[in-house]
Amino acid sequence: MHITANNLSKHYGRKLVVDNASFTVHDGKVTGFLGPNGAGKSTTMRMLLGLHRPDSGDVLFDGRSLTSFENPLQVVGSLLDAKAFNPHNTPSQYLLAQAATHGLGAKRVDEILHLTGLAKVADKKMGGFSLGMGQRLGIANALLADPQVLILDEPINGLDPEGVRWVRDTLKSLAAEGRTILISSHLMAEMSQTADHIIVIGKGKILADAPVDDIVSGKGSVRVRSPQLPQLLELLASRSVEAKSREGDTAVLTGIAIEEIGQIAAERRFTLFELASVGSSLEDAYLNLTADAVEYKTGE
Amino acid sequence: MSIAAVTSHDMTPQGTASKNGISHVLPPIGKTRLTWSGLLGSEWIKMRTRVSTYWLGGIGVIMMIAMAIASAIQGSNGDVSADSVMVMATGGVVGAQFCAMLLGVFTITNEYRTGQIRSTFNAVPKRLQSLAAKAAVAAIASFVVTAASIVVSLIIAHVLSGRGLAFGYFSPEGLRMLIGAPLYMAFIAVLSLMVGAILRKSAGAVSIVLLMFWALPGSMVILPPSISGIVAAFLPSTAGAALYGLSSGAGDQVFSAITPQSAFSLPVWGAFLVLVAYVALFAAIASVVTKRRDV
Repeated sequence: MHITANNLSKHYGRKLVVDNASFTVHDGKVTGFLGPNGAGKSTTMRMLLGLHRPDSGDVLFDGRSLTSFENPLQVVGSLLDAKAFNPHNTPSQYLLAQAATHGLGAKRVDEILHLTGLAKVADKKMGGFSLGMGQRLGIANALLADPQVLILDEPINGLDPEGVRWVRDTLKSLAAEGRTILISSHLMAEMSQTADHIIVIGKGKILADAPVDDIVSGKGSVRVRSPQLPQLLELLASRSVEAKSREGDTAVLTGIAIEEIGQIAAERRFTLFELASVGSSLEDAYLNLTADAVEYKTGE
Repeated sequence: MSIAAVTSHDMTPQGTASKNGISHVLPPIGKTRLTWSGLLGSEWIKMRTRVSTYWLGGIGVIMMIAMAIASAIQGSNGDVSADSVMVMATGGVVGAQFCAMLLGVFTITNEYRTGQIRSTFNAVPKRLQSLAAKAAVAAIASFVVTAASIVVSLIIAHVLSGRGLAFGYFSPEGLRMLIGAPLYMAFIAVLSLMVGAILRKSAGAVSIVLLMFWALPGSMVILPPSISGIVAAFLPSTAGAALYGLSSGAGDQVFSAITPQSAFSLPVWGAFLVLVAYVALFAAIASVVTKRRDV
């Protein structure tokens, strides 16, 4: 099942939070949804679920509106905020109420509590839960009805390393089963390990929508160190490739593939001391993409 | 692959991830469906797992029975009619309606306060279905608890007032009160729930309902006497009293404190229609805002 967002826009008061965003989330992979604080991630996710009403645009699940399904919870499960429950309730009670809507009962709730490592606290009041426990419960809630689509807003916030790893493995396996998974995060290292595809949003606009590999390599630069650097740069300049920075016999180049430089150097018999890709981490790519779209920046 | 293989890893969640590509991370389930019975069941679970439900139910029942005991003891010296006993048994509604009101408000505001409403609307994207289910459960709970309290109060009032357990000769008037009181409680629960759905905050919703049921009747004195009685008859508290109270005579002192005395009164069916109109009005507003709003 794939989710299609068509021209989604949303204002809060006079502020445009999501600006004509269109994208598709495909099945069989984990899609990471990235963006600076206030970029419109949560708003977009809520619009996907029909919880926030878009000013314009629509959201379709396999071409259908979510309200047209007879088993909505089996279509999409969600985690939006970790502590959205009555603190006097227990995980069992909370999940049971949710499960009951679709005719599921205590057996299913037990299964999910075991799966998410909450079996021991099944009958404890949730008020005393840590953020991590709340996240586990939120994930349990999302998985409850065996949904085809998962929409998780910052699911690894507050989880311990074991929990982070569990979420990563679980999401990858669920995607491998053919499910559609959209997960937002601001932890780039985590995202680069978990996601197959990345959608970047900044100031309400979709800035990138591509496989992780494309995003990372497309924005990478190449560092080259050579005693014949001036000649090399001159040659590259004729192909309109400029050095981003230059220091001594080392230059950092963008807009050219590393293989191409190697090829040129070999043809012209330039000596290379070093030829390496740099800045190709997801974090660098992300910072590049969102440089102009950061709402709250340090040092401003 | 089996479910057992997965659940055997219960305490080590990372062990549940599939390694061989065959096992399911999530134990699969068959095809499910969102149904009205499921929805009502879900709302019932939420209601009975809220602490406030028990407080409100307990206080309401105690109020009903205490009122029956107090008025039966007062009335025990004279010759007591069956209708008078019914008045004793239903008089507690005047106080207990406060409980139905809070029950109704909390049914919806509790979810908005905690944010659980988002989970609810994820499972029930047609939000009005959820609102309807909440209203139905609040109404049924209020009706059943009130009806049960009245039956108990009736027995107590019979015994204490010296009539003994001589049932079986209820007048249409008596039956009307017997059904009218629980009906009124269900009405106030639903009306309050709709106000809660509109305002989404407990304090605001409770204030509005209190204003409608207590402040408005009290402020009728500012109107000229010629019209105050007519206006008052259309207030929800007065219309409600026409359902569960004695339409004329001795029983009236119970709620005369909150409803102005007047020569004008609606017939029972008229009062019922007034209440239906109030619920319809607030339900319509609640439906529009519930459907439109971001949660």
